[in-house]
Amino acid sequence: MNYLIANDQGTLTDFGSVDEAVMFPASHVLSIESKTDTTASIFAQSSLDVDADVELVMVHDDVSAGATYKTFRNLVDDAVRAINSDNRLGYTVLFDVLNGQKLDNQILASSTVTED
Amino acid sequence: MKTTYVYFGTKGYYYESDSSGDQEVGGDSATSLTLAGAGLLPVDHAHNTASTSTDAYNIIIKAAAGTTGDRANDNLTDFLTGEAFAAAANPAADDVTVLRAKDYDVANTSQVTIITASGAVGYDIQNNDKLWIEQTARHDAAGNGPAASNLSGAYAYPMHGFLGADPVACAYEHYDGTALDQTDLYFIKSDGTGGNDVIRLIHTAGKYPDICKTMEALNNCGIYNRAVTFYDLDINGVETFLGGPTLSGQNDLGIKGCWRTTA
Repeated sequence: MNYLIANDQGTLTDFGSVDEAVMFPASHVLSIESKTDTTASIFAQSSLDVDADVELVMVHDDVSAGATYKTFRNLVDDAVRAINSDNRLGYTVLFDVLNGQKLDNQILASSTVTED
Repeated sequence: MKTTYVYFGTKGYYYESDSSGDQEVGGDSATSLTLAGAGLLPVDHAHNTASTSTDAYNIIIKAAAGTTGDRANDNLTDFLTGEAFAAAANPAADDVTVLRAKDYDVANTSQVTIITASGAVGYDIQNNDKLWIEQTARHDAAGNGPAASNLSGAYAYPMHGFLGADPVACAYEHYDGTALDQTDLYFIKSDGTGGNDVIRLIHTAGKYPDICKTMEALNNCGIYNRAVTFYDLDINGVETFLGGPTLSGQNDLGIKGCWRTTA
């Protein structure tokens, strides 16, 4: 089982509360959806409440613009590739603000983690 | 454990035929279209106001019988055949007419009213006329996005969350005469609350078994490095199809509408 990690905090001292960093098994992903013209969300079953979700909001280029209209679709493929990746470490980082790690078509600034 | 992801874009589609013809869409009075029932909610529009957008969807009428003076006198071409009408103002049986922005109003983002025919404006709906609203591109003017003024929704689900396919009674037909059916695809709800998300497909009649076979083929296709598109409609109006059980990439299922019934 591949485990997925996301972190929206830029400094180590900010860790410790909800809505900052999460890890969950790849099998707990519920969907990947368009939210606005410039954001997409990965929803997963919440680790705080099994009847709620974790939402990873990923910022991307404006899909209503002709030059970047495929960005959301490409970001979905980036996410699926990461979720299903063969990572011998046993985990995959979807995005990490602290270390500047992100999916190819994602914009890291204002990408967030929210636990319901 | 790896899982295939299935991707759905949105195409709104609505059909009605009323034995007591009236100018309202969705009922005999100012009845609202719903996102669950039509897959799109047109933005407000006044027929005499050019600045309001009616992009990305068509309102189409097929005449049940020949009548006189019930269509704008400058609506000249059959939408289905591309041929000139015999008489612009006089609909003949089976004429397929697409309305222009000046031919209808939209109020409250859901109430569509056809303007009564007069001169170069409008169309008088007669008993048993058939009417469609069909989305033609992914566009914020279609008003069916996850938030106001955003593009229509798009969704990718892991196939481990696929719960099943349900045939739903449907008496739709397309303006080319093709009989249509409805199938609802159920997935575990994305907010984790224990319900389900429903992807509604409007497709050629009798294709339910092929849809089931297609979902099985999709689940076992072995593609894990990207999401597999079941149906998509982009901002340029280009449609992408998965195809039937052979995953042909053609519209083997005759998909005419595809949307999620929850925003």
